[in-house]
Amino acid sequence: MDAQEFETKINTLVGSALAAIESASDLDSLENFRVQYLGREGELTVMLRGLASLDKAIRPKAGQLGNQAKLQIEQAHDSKRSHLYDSALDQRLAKESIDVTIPGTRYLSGHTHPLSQISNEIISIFYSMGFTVADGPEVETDYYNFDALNTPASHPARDEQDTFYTNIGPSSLLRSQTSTVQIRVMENTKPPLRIIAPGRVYRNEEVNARKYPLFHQVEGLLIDKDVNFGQLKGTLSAFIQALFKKPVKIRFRPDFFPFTEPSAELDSECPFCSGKGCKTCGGRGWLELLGCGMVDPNVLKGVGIDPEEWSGFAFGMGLERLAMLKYDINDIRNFYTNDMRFLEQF
Amino acid sequence: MKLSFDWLSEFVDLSGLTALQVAEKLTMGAFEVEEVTIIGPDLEGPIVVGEIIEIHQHPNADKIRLTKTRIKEGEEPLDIVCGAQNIEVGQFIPVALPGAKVVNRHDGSALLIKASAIRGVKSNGMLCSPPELGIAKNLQDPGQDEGIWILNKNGNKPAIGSDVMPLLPTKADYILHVEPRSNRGDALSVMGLAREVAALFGRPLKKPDWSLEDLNKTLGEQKQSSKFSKAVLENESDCPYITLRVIEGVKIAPSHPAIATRLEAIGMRTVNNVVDITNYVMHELGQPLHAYDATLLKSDNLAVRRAVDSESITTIDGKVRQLTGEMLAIADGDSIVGVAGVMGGKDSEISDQSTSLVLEAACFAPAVVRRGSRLLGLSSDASLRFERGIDPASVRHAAERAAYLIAKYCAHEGKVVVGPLIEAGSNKIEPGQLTLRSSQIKRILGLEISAERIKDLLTPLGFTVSGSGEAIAVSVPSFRKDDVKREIDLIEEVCRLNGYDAIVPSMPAATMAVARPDDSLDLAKNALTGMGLSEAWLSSLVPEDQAGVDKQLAVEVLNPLSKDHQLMRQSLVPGLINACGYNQDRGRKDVWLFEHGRVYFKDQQKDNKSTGVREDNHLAAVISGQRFKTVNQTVPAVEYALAKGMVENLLSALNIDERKLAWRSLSESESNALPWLHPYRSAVLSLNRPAKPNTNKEAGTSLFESNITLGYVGELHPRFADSKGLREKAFVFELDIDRLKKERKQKKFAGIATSPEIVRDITADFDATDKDVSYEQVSKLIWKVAGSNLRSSELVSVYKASEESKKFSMTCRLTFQHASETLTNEEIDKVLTTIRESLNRDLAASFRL
Repeated sequence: MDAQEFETKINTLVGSALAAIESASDLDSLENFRVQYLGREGELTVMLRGLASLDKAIRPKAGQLGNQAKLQIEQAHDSKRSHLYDSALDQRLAKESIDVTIPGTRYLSGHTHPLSQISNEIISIFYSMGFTVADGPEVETDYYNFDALNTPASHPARDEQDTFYTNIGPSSLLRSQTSTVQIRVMENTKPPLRIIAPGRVYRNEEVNARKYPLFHQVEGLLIDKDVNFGQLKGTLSAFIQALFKKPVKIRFRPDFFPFTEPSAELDSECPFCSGKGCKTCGGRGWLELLGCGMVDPNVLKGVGIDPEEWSGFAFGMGLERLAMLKYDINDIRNFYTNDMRFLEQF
Repeated sequence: MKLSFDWLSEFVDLSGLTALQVAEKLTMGAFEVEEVTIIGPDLEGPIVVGEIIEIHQHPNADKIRLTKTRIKEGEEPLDIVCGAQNIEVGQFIPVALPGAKVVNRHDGSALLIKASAIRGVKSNGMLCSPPELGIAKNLQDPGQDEGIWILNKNGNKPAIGSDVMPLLPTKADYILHVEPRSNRGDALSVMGLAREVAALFGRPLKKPDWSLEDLNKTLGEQKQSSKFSKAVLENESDCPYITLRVIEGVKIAPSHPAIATRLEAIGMRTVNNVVDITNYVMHELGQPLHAYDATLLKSDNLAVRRAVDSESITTIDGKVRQLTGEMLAIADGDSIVGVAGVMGGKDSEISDQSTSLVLEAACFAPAVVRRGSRLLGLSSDASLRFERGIDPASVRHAAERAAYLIAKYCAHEGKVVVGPLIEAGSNKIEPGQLTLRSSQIKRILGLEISAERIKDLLTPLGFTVSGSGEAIAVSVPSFRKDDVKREIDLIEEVCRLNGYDAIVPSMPAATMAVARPDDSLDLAKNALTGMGLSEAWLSSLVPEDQAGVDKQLAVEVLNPLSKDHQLMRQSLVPGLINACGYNQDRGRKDVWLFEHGRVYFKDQQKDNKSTGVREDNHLAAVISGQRFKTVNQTVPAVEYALAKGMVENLLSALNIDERKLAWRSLSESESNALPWLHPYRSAVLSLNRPAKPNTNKEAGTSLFESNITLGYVGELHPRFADSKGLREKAFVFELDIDRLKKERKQKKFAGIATSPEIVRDITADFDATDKDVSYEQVSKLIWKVAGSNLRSSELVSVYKASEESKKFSMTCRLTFQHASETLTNEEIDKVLTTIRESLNRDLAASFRL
């Protein structure tokens, strides 16, 4: 076989291979053609294997032609294959069409209780002002709930907080205020002090939309040298702005608590009527947010802190009250019913 | 306390001030005014006298007539339609003209008069009846209420066109609802609040225009016939001072309108002229008084003494009250005629037949009144004031004022005899002398206030201020003796009167000790909400028949609100199950809830410092219903393993090494203590070490009887689930978070070993008829004997031929890895042999080859 003859032969082969590849209608027939020409016993493979028997003089030229042919067929195959794969896939994908607007598979999403949320928020605001969290028992003695808070047995203020008493002993009661924690902390820790004490308190009051026999307070206490009323105002003003995340008009109104003097009630302008007077604020235009005051010298003396050396302020707020205002909740019982329709809104 | 603006104006000049301005000032001066209400008609003119000139029938209505009413001499009469039947030509009547405001007879609201057509006939005003002019009861002529008010009934003709407003016997008043302050007994009166208002506005107090002396002069010399002559005090610490006075020749009748109107305005029931005057003076001056019918008193004296246990009294509310030695009584010889400071007795009360009386005004000690009031469950306007402390120095003034008013308004045909004042005890009060340091004002308030200013602020309230510079001397008036005893009390007064707004806000200097709060709870809550549980907050007061409460250890409320709030809870789970049932009753099937909260146990080893109660923090959950919502796909049922897996995830979130813990079945006593658990599908989690000897802090509870118990997980007992109306299978867990916290370890990176892992499965056969074996035992034993190269042991399958079969096999997939070297098969085989031998020896396992 001379060079010319070989070239004709191989061109014919390439021509039929390319035609076959072009004619393939799917990946399977393409694969058959690949095996037919390029497989181990394929026509081109066999022809190239025969190169060794060719005349030495035409062998280089023939080898070159053979490799070119192989490359040409392979490229045609690869290109056809990729084309067939893409169109097959396109067809399959089209068949896989779904309604993408069908609802997703949803896990129950867990929600923290609104009282937890507001409690954490309050704690983190005071935490940023250097306060740390303190804790105390709920079943208390009348010493911590009253006597140590400058409220002796004959004080009428005792009746204003209808207290639950327990079977533990004559002095045992369910604390009616978290102010008890002030005393426990001051008994065990030397000033300066900055504490915040969230907790549950109890009062013997009929259940209604505004009252429940248990509720939650956050108590705060700061004792240091030269602490004054101006700092009380500054600290609590900063707190209220941070809690409501916007400027809120507030006022400090004189009030009476046995364990602080002077004492104040912090009112905010009613957010529901912007101070014009509405049902929520009882027409007053103001809402009570928390009670506060300078720690009474008798309280400090009682825990062995010299009121001439140290002074301080204390404050207490109702979590439910703040949460009701912040989230526009109109019935306190919602907090304890634990209806999923309520919880999942927070 | 309800304060009448009109009454207040008798004691302080309020000209130019509105009730709302006074309310605002009082509120910012420590006397919160909760609301201001209007009493009496809100009337507006023009309301004038008119004369009826003609009356015609209304063309379109039977019961309505047309009048021509003249309201100005020489002018044409107006057409006015009227529905009343008592009108006649020639009558002089009040006419409300367009623009006037009268009272709507039907509902008491304001009625604005307009010129309008009534059934097609124009009406230019309204002829008014007494109720339409705010005269609820026509005191002069009660029969007139039904028709138009006839003004010329007695023959006198008022001028046509003259203003009717001055003829109206009542006028509008504003009632300020003042929150009583527990430390300010002196301000529970018109007089007391007038003092505050005068000081806050810087206006003078008005002097009263009466005196008993002058009155007695007009009455002339009269002879007292009563033998009654003495007041006796058993103990001056219970009653430092008392006055009594006999008044004879009184006639009991309804009160004079001047008294009745005032009392009704502040919501007090009127009784009769004498009783009303005692109430009037109490509200006016803050001193409670009591009047006894003198003819019903047997002895010649009244004694103030402690009651003895067998004594009783029928109080004027008609109830029989048993007395004790803790109560202070007023005794007439052997009979008790009053509970001092609380309420008088029925047997000696003023009745329509009374003709002479004994008027009592006294100062009773706050503590004894408060005690008596509490013990009897009886409080009154009097006890409210005595408990807060009244001023002994003012008792006499009130006694005279009441005598004056009784003589003035209750005299029987002018023959009243006011007897001399009978006194016992002392009304002398040494004024408190205090020193107010300027430096302390600055220190506590952060504000400098001059001595001059302090004087200006305190003087109007009755304080005497002298001196300047650092030490200012302040003398306290008798009526403030109870609440101003110390320098700080004066600082508060100065602060209040100077205005809280005057204090400039600042921030405290930063001396802080920063301590990071424990984050266990936050981590746990995040893990639980991430797993789909929502947080519940439940009542810690639970019903007396709450399941699982150990009565021996129960903290019980002695004065519960109801039987539903009687005990302090010992577990969070029953409440969670109730909440679950509540939601499922409302159609919500999938309820996954958790709670963090306290449980309460009587502390068995009580010492002096403890409260006698142990309060543990628990974390508990209930899961019932599906975890996720999907379309057309079946969701695997919630099973025990899921609940347990949640606890395991939680332990992992807290970085607690599970190899320090152990799971086991419930003991019999645990089954009894936890009646909501399925006895065979529940497990207890505990520390994998022996219990410590019980110390005070570590004692067991009914729930977690050993001090190494951390909690439990399990399926809800079907009986319990049924009784709570649960509609879906439910699982619960409860953990002692205080104990868990202690097992947390610091996170540390252990490196990632790159040496190859070798994984081998080991399948062991067991026969429960020989020995009951749990996975926990198998796992613990493998870890014990496998040596240090075992990285993990994972249970991949448990096989049982049938549900009843006692024979079962477990396959564990063990992963071995050395920190740095490549383990050989020989080494692993040796370990596996050891494991097989141990399982066989300790747990009777057999192995197929």
